[in-house]
Amino acid sequence: MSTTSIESIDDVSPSVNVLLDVVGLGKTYGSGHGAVRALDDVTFSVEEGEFVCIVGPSGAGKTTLLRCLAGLMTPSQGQASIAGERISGPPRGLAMVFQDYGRSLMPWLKVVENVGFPLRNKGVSKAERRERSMAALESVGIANFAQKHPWQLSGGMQQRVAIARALAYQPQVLLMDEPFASVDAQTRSDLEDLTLRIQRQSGITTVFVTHDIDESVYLGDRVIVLTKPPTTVSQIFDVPLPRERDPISTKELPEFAHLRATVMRAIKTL
Amino acid sequence: MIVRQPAEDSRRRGWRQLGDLALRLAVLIGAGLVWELYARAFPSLFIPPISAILANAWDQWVTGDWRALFIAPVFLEMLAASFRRLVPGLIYGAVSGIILGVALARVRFLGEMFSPLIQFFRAIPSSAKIPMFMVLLGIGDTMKIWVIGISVALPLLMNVMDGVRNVDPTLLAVAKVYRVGPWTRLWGVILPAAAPQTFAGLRIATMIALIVLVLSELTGAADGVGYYVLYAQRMFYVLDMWAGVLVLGFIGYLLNAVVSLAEVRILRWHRQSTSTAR
Repeated sequence: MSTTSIESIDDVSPSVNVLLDVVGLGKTYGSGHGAVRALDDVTFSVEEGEFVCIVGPSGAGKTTLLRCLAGLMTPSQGQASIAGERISGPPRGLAMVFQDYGRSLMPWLKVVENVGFPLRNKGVSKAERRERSMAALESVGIANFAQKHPWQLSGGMQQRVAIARALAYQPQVLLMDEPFASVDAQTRSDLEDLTLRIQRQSGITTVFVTHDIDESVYLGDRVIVLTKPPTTVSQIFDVPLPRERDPISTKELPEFAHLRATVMRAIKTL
Repeated sequence: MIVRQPAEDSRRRGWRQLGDLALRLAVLIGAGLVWELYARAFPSLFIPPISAILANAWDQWVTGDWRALFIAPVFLEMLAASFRRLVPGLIYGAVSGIILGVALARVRFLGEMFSPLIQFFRAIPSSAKIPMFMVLLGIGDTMKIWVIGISVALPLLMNVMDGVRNVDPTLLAVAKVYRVGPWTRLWGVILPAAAPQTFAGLRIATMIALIVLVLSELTGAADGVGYYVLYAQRMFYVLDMWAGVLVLGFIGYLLNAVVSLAEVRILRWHRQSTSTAR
């Protein structure tokens, strides 16, 4: 456990804009003898425009952490805040892409309606809603499927719809919960590059939870490694790769291989 | 990727549907023929040939008056009396069943508090509810509408509750994260997600409504199709009795068709999404 890396970030750059701040976050399920301590004491912060990946062994409470950040769960201890505002209930300007794409889209709505759904009754006119939905679908490359229903699309396509829905919402913070865990390797690689491209274009602060170490190093500006439960932050790594990434050339860089090995070792030796 | 193709052009599909329809009609007519032949082969006072039943119904219910669409007033009065009870009962029952079902499923303590009471009420057979409501509301149409309404609402409510409780938690989480208001959550997520089970309940409920209608007309009425059947049976007007039974069957068929039609329109996504093998 090295808390130094956490402090060093705060110390070295006190001027940067911390957007998401997590301090001493803990979550216990149940009470008494049956109580399960999922998160013990999680502390980290994410700067504006940053892409942070969170990895950890399976069962490390990654999803619990993300649910606390999304305001879907109330932490038992500590707190998380966005732009200085404590999170209690789903915060404004936060979007999330869920793991099971098949269940996060509404089968009774067409693709374009799914993307526009969060904008309903939000003071966004129908025309603007449509425009934003179509633009979002355009940017994930599936505008020509706008009039289809989700179940007519493949898994990868469905997750693109979910990403488009998050984009159309124009969030400050985007949470992604193992979004590509159940698509095939090629689709996954495509979706990773899509996510990177969109993040670079929009500058949306992104927290990406995954159990895949390669993915975390390839996508992240920083990689946060969690411990086994009761979970704390084990280590935080800066990713010393150029911000423009390529699935082939980036992954053959010695820095990539080195960091990948380091992260893997960090998780193995927990 | 994209699974279904518009392929099979609509003309060919049209022909196939026409063929299906012809087949179904043929089975229906065949059943009538079997009845006719049986009744002629084994003459009995109680099972008259269907041709005699229809001829008798024609004599009674069809007039030469084109202004009334050839329908005799007695027939219209009989139907009107029944529909005056059936339709309000169905509508009140369906609306209250859906509202209560959603409320009891969404507000946990309400559901827990009321579920024994509902289970108990549901366990009382509808036929036994009639005398109970007769005591409370007399024998008029109010009683009949109430009995139909409650007999419809209770099973429907259970189905709706089940449907609402089984809405995928991921969808509810999506609605929460994107800060969707309660109104949009209800109309945009919960009700559509519970619609398949609601319609299943509605199908059962309409059939129950018809049963209860007839039962209520057997006990305290001087008009309506149910009364007509009972009266004819008591008077040994066997042909009339059979005609009334056929009318009831026809009403049931019609009700089911109306629900099916609505279901096909509203649940197109459900039918197609579950039939899409992936």
